[in-house]
Amino acid sequence: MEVNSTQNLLLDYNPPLPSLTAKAKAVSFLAEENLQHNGNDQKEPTDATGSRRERVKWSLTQQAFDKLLACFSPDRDEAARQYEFTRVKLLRFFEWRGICSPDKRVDETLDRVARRIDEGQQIDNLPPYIYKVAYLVFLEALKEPKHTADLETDPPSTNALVFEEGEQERRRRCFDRCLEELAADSRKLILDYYQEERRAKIELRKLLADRLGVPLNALRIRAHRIRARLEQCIEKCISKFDTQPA
Amino acid sequence: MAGNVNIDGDYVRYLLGKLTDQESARIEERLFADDGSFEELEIAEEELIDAYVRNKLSADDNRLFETKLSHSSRLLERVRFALILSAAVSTVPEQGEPAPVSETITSLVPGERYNKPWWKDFLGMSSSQPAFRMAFAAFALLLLVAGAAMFTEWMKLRRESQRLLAEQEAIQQQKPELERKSAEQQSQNERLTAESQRQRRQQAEDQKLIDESRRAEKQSQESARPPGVPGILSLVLPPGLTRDSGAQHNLIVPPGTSAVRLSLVLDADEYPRYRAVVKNAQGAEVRRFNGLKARRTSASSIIALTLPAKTLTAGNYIVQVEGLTSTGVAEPSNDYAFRVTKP
Repeated sequence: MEVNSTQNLLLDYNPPLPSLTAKAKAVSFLAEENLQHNGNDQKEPTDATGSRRERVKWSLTQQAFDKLLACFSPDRDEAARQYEFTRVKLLRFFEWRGICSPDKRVDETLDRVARRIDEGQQIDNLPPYIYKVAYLVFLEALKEPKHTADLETDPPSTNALVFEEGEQERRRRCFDRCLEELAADSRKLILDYYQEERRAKIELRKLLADRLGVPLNALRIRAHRIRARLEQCIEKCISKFDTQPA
Repeated sequence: MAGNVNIDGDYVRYLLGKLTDQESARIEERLFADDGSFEELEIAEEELIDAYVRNKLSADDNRLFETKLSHSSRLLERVRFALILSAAVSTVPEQGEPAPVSETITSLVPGERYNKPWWKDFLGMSSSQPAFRMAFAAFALLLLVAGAAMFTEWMKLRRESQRLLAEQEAIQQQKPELERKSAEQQSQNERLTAESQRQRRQQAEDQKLIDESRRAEKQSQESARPPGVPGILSLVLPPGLTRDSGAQHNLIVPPGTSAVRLSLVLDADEYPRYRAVVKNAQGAEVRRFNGLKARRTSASSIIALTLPAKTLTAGNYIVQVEGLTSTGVAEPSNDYAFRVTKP
């Protein structure tokens, strides 16, 4: 187990994750955490009943952030890369779990991890620890009334898929431009790889993999990476269109 | 960890929210620990999106996916991309090997032609073949260099043409002057030719006179001429005129004299040819001589004239000598005076 602090309820938070017990403990941990103080605590106003209950909220300091990065890697650049990649993973996690405002949850997760590290907790394997904290934040989010309301009352809508006037043309132009920016072999690969509508998908991809001399799964990953580059390029291209005066 | 999980199926079910909480947690734990698993999950998301775009999801899965879609702008953006990509690849030819990319690019959206600038096609910039692009680049470079060379050559020719035009204009301006000079030259030549012919005639006449004089002299010597009278008289005249009758050169021409030879002394022999006119006191021309040449003596240069004695009556005479330049222009040289007395 990665956590050493006896004060932390995560000590009892062993895999398999999560269980009802774990959920209960996590909620308890979060409640307890809100009552703790440190040098960066901020006093919050009185509650609705008028009783002066002091609640403190921890905020990220530079020192705590540096300690967090150091836990990723002793090399600063590599630490920054891992930090960013972890943020993406967290973002996807909250999205796939259907949580509203995933960005806010990601910040919350990383702040809590940084706080523990700043307080002196020794973490041997950071990624699983981060996931566990993220899971607790997810559970906390599930308790929020607005979240459940969104999921239950908002009817699924795909109206957003209908392109506005001129938007489809802009996207198509961006697509063409970005496709041209790809290396010739990458362009050919992505166009061939996704021709699955009119050909036997498996046979086609086997043929492609044989031609490139790579296993099928490597071809799949290669196509995904090219597609990711293409998507990023188009995103930038469209944002340029959007910022240009009409 | 669940090592035998069917990647595609479990990941897709996870994304649709169809797994149990425990199954989901297992996948999540793995994707946080392993970057490769995270990438696999993203690929699964792409495949789910593509299936949605191609309408290959079941009604239930379709509903679940749209629920996710309505809460994620990122997912929505990816679906939009997939729509464009699907349209692009759906127009690729069905038979045989995958079509060349250049063909594919031109038909990305069904029913619409890929709207690229014409010059990209012209320059081969849309080609996927590096060699083709290189060839076009080389061709374009060659065109550029050749164009520059042709432009330089054209500029050079233009300058030369302008220079020739200016010269032609100058020649055109000089033409009347040259024509005038040519006409003058021709006129001068004609004049000289006529003069030459006249001189030849004169010489022939002179020769005839001389021959007559000689014959007459012989006759007079043989018959009527008194003894001691020469047939031809000779008089040497220095240059210059004098009004003093006493100082004038007097030539006594006795009867029986056939001819008079005048030797005119020149100040300087400055001309290749001379002409001389003998005039009486009234200014009437007695005799004209053309094409005379000076003869060099030990002391000076002399022009010799021979006149028939009968042409000289008693009285004063002057001889006007003009020098002829190489172009035939006559310039005054010397005048001479003498008196003829007949006993």
